[in-house]
Amino acid sequence: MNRPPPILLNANDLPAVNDIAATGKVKILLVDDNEDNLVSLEAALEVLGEDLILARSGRQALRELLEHDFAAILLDVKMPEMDGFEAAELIRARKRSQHTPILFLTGYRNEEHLFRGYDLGAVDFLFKPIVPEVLRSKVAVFVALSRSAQRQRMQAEVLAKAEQRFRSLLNAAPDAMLITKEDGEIVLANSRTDGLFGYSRSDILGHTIRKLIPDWNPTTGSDPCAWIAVRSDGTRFPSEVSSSPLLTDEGLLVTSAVRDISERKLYEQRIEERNQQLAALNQELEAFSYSVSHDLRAPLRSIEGFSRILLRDYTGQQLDKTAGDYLERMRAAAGRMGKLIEDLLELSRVSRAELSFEPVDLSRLAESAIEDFRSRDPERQVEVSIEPEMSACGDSRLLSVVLCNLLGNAWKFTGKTATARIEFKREKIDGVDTFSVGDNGAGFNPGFSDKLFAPFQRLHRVSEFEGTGVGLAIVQRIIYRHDGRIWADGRVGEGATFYFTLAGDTRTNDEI
Amino acid sequence: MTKSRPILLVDDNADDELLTLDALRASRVSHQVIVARDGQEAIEWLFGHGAHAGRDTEVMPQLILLDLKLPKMNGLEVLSNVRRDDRTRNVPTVILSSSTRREDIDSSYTRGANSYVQKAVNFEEYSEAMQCLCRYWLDHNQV
Repeated sequence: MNRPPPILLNANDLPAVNDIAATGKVKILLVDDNEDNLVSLEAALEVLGEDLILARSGRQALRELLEHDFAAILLDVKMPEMDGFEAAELIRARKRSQHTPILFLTGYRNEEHLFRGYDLGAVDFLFKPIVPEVLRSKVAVFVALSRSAQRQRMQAEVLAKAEQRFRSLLNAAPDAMLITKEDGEIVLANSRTDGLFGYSRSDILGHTIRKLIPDWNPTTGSDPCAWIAVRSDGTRFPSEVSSSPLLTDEGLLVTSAVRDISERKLYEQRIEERNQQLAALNQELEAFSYSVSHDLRAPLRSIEGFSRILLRDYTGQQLDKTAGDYLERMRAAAGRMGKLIEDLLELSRVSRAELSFEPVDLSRLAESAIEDFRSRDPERQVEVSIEPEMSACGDSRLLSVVLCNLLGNAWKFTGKTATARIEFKREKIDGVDTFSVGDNGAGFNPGFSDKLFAPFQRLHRVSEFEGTGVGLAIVQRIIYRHDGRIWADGRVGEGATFYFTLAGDTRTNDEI
Repeated sequence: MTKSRPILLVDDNADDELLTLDALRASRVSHQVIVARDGQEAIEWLFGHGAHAGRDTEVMPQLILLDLKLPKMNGLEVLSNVRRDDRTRNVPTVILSSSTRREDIDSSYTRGANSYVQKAVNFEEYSEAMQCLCRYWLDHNQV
């Protein structure tokens, strides 16, 4: 079935035709060998306000016709050399002027003249003496006709351009675009359709779209539908079809954009597989953590517990001072290893824990951490300044771990500072809310600042400041899980400041 | 103190058993302590089956100290069995575990544990916790 493609847009949808061009002056050609006649024609028509072009012979008229398009030609019949009829014949012979209305001016009514004139395509005869009113009203009709023809031409041009744009858009689309009637009959398809389905367009125009997409249904909502599509060779592929109604002069049409999503499906499948692998790995890790937490701690408990019992029950009897010292060392080492295991478990926990985002009062968390330190170290005098009412959005348990670690470090590393000071505050850095924990303690060599956050990295000897070297790794992981940043500033002997941001500020649980 | 009912300690680790017994002694607990080395043995002792057939099941423990990770039948299964049976339903059961995993703690309470105590590496902490527990569950608690 072959049919011309329908016009898909309403003229009303198009931009208005250029008004200046449509209302601009038209040209009227006046041809007469008699100067007086020309002057009176000109005088009669001047009031129309159009461009009047005068020619004094048939030849001159033909020359003018090479340069201009005329709304009408007033042509004197009786002229020397080339009379009006001859000129009309030549005018008609030219493509450009073959439809230009010609009004013959003649001195007398002659049947033969009339026939010949009309034969040559004259639209009218005007008999001399010319009555200006009659002349004007007749010419005015042709001016109006010309204007309306011009407007139509321009509209057609705009329409053609719009349709051309529409078609090139259609053909440039990465999807197969099909325009169908409501019942699914295909009225237009873009070139991508051929490639995607393996049909030539003439094979599908006029056929139902269900030949390509058996489940096609125009009444689905605005969400794309996942439908199986069928190629000309019968092979099937998953597709995504977005349909939208198109109301036209010819009734309701449906545009369907069809996209091959095989590749995406493949990727989705791969991602799904990866996710399963990851989940399996996570589970293994979980099992590993569990045995670390359980099985590695049990022997430590024995070492620690029995050393302590020995110290308690045998000191001064079978145990001399040196033996006691050795046992004390064993006990302390077991304790350190226990702490290490706990920190490692915490590190693995904070990496896997599900975050629950909620507003968190950081100031309050910091205060309670400091209270805790003070009660454990009642003899220490530390000047602590915590900016009140600092809140952020995040996981309160994990943010508490962050503050306990950072403030705990500050507490620890000011242990040898005479007037220890710790400050927790918020400021804008590069327009971002940035929290900082600063102290005037031992500080660190800024050359090592990138090593600070690596697990087991310690910048101080255990004998100077105890610790496992996992705390900042835990802190960094928690901050990363909040899409934040963390960095540190410091100088040996001049204290350290840790800065962190929490991008989670604007998030809610729904977005995670 | 009136003639007290025993404490049932379920733990497969001999060291942990010794440490727990030491901690109980340190808490001046004079109760007899029955030790079961796996979950199945605990259940058999409680209900007088298998190796413990014929045990006087009128005597139920005043307190069960239960490890989670046990051979044959794990601590959670033992706990479920204890809570299911009318004879043991009300026996206070304290979980003693190395684990601090949220899941372990949650499922212990879901199945009716009365307390959950981490077996700390630091024996002093463990002893103190044990002392508090015993004082509560053996001296103050009314079943």
